[in-house]
Amino acid sequence: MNIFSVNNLSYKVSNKLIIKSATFHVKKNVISIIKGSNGAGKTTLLKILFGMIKPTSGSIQRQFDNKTYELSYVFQNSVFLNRSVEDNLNHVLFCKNISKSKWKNLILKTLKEFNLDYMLSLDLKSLSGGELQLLALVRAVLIYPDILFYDEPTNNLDSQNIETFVKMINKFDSNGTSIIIVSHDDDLIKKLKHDELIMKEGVISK
Amino acid sequence: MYVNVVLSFLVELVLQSLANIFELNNSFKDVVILSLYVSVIATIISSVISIYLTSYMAIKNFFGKDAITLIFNSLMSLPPVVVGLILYITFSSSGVLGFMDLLYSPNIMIIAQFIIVTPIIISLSLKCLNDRYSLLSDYLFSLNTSENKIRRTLVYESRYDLLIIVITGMSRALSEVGAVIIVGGNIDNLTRVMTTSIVLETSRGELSLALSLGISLIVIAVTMNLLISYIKNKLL
Repeated sequence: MNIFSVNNLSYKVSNKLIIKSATFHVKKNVISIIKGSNGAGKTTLLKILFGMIKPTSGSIQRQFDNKTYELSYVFQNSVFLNRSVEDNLNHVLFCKNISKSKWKNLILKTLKEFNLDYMLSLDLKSLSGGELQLLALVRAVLIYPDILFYDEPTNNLDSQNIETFVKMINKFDSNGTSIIIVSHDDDLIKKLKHDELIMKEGVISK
Repeated sequence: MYVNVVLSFLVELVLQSLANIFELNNSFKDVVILSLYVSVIATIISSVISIYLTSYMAIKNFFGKDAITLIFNSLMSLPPVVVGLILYITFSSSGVLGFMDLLYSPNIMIIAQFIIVTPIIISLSLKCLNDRYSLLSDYLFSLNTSENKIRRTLVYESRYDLLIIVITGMSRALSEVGAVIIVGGNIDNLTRVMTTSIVLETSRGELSLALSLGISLIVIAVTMNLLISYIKNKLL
């Protein structure tokens, strides 16, 4: 079953065509990777699928079985609030109307699952780029989303953190989360069992 | 010889001023308390309204947003005497709102300071919240949360900058003289504040009293600036 059916989608900025008549499907409960070089339009496509940007033309059908789907997005350069690690995670749960009594357990459980609970005692400013990237992923999966959008996940990650990342992604894949990743990292792509879409100069192909 | 006379005069003036401050007689105390009361109330009301409005303006794009921003930026340099004059005309017995009987009361002074301070707090808050929102907008959008929670997040994340803006507004209110002297009338034990009292005592030749009020005003202003520095250095 498809979660997204994209038909003849185009996106233009100041007369420059970023995405050219893209037609494709994104399957449910699998990892889909949009692969392509820098400037190919991958991030724009991901933002359009998420609903952050409106396409210039074409259509996207979201087949969400009439239920409210929880979506999460991890940005290429994630921004954090000027608060502690715990309060950054608390903020997501606050925004998602999760009862305050559940916050602590939910955060601890998710961090422990990936051996990242040590972060709780650290100052946000003391975390490395790789740790921040993993924290951004934790922040996105705290609410157990139905669809996870991830833009260039391996930026800032060393080989050890990439292993942690792959473990996290596979875990959520096996839990039934549909994952859409944008990446140009061939090493990462080889490590994940996935559906692949290739993007080149705004044109998408299977 | 001349220098000695001038110096002894200045020393005596400063000593007498300091004596006035430490004596803390009732009339002096009342003037300082009323000044703080009027400025604090005006700043609090202005801050609540301004921050509420600008948190809305920062996350919304609507027709006329740029024009409203431009108007508030221009109103930052609103001359206080003009504000005082307009309020005087409006609230005088033959004015549109004369029936409210507010002229020559602390309440009209609060209104005057509110009008002077609000464009400053709105303009600075809007700039601050706009900048913060452009930084956080993608992340906040990705949370798919309510507009109210986005605004609360934005204000909370900007809290230290906003506090500095509020203190800046209060400094402006405290040092204002043109409007409050027109609408308050500088009535002893009723509407006399530090700035209007300085004007009066100087014209009367009571320089030591005027200077003691001036020193108090500077101490309050310096304390607020120290507070701003503390917030900037320790909390930001």
